[in-house]
Amino acid sequence: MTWSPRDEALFWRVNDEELVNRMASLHVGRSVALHPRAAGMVALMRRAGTAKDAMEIAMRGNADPLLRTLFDDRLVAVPPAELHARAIYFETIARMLPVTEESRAVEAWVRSLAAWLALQKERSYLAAFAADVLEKPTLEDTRVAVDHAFGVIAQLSEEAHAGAATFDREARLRVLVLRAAPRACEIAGLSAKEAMSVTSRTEAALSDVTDEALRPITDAMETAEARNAPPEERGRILHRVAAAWYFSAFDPIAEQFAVDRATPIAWEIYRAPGNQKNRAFLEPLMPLYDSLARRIASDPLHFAYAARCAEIMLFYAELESTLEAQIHGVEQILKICPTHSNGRLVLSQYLCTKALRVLTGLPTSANIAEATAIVDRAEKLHPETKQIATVRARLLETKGLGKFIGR
Amino acid sequence: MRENPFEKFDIDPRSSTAQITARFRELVQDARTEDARAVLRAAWEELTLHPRDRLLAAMATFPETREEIPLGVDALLPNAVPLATHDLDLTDLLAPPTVLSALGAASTPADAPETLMNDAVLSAVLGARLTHSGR
Repeated sequence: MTWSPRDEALFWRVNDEELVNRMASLHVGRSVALHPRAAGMVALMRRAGTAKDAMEIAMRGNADPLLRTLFDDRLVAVPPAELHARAIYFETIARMLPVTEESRAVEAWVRSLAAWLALQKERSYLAAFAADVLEKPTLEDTRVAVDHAFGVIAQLSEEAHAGAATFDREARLRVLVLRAAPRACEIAGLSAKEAMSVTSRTEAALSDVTDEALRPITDAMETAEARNAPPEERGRILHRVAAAWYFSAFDPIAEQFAVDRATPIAWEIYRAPGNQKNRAFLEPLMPLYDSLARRIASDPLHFAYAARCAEIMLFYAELESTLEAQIHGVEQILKICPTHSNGRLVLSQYLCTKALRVLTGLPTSANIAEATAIVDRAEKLHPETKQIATVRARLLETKGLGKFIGR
Repeated sequence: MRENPFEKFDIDPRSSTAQITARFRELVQDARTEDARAVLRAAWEELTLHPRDRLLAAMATFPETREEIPLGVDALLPNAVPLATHDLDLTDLLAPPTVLSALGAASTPADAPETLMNDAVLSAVLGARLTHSGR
């Protein structure tokens, strides 16, 4: 009996199936079997002579080096058929990974999207593929093949949208993938203009998904407002924005929503007796406001929210338990909105209190200098602050006392 | 997420409409329930009636990039009948009458189990082929 070309081909087919399944099983963390055609991806790599050493190691049982070869940072040199196979491979793996393996699933999705985006530039391959599948593809059919990457983005967006209202974990995973689109573009080797056409789609989709996640909260708030529900109850409804914010992978739209909706509630609570309740109301939302404050400080695009964000954060700063914490809180607020009138007034008052505390100690020249500097700043911030006159008078007394005791 | 029909029904995405229909005909014959046949009909429609859906499904499955397996001795049998010689339509998915019913129940001995190997027509065809090929 001789070893025929058919035997040779069958041997490699079985070998490639075994290798791709070893890679997939290692990737997913459990034994899995892909469709037999997945072996074609290994066949392409074998025929191209890429990863020869890794393939030999894989044939001896360790698929790890071979799996690593799929994680190129640039896909520009990968042939189109292999890009196609990789796109399907990574999507298959992403769908196999449990939702608890979030970072690995997102990485697999990003790799799949990157492969699709890189393939989008391979017009000849895609036209030939369309002709292979359809006997007589029209120009429009070929266009469908070329635009398949956008179809993948649309599919991801749809899946994210479908689970937004319930903050579904699978849906959040799609959100994370859409947020990572710029990285997929980079791996795919897209130009800035090409990447823009991708990210404009993903950003629009993400805005829609966040709106959908916020929709039940808006509805519940409107219902509560219509029946004049107390501010504490409306506050509890608004706390769900924190979950929507997490679901949306920290979308600034959710942060702005939390600012807009919280401000009237915070004022109501503030004006009511025992306004300490504002702490319980604002505490769960503070991560959103801190995040928005950081955005405002670093990106002029968010500046329109500076005053509104400062106002809501001021409520919280006033509830800090120590004077130092209160001053620090308002200092942060004035960093994002230096002209905020209420913020300047409140900080000016805190500084006056601080200056008076300094002056309660020994009337040393150091204390007098420190208190003078503090009150000067308080006056600069808000000249009409009533306590300034008190501090100035105390300063004069302390200076006289200092001279008297010779310090 | 719905399973890709090319993978679910093990069809080469490069198959022609006739080849796809032939594959679904096999599957319909094997289907045990009307629900299963309805699923097959829907998948057949997706892949054959709407070219764009077929292209999208083909894009979303592993492309066939494995080496061709050279033909073995089985394929060298003379007078091999092609699976399909013309464009097929929905009526081709109807299960054809069985050989047994065509011959009538009386043609099978009452005590013989109904298997392919004792099917009179099939035995005659295979016998003729083996004689022709000298085996």
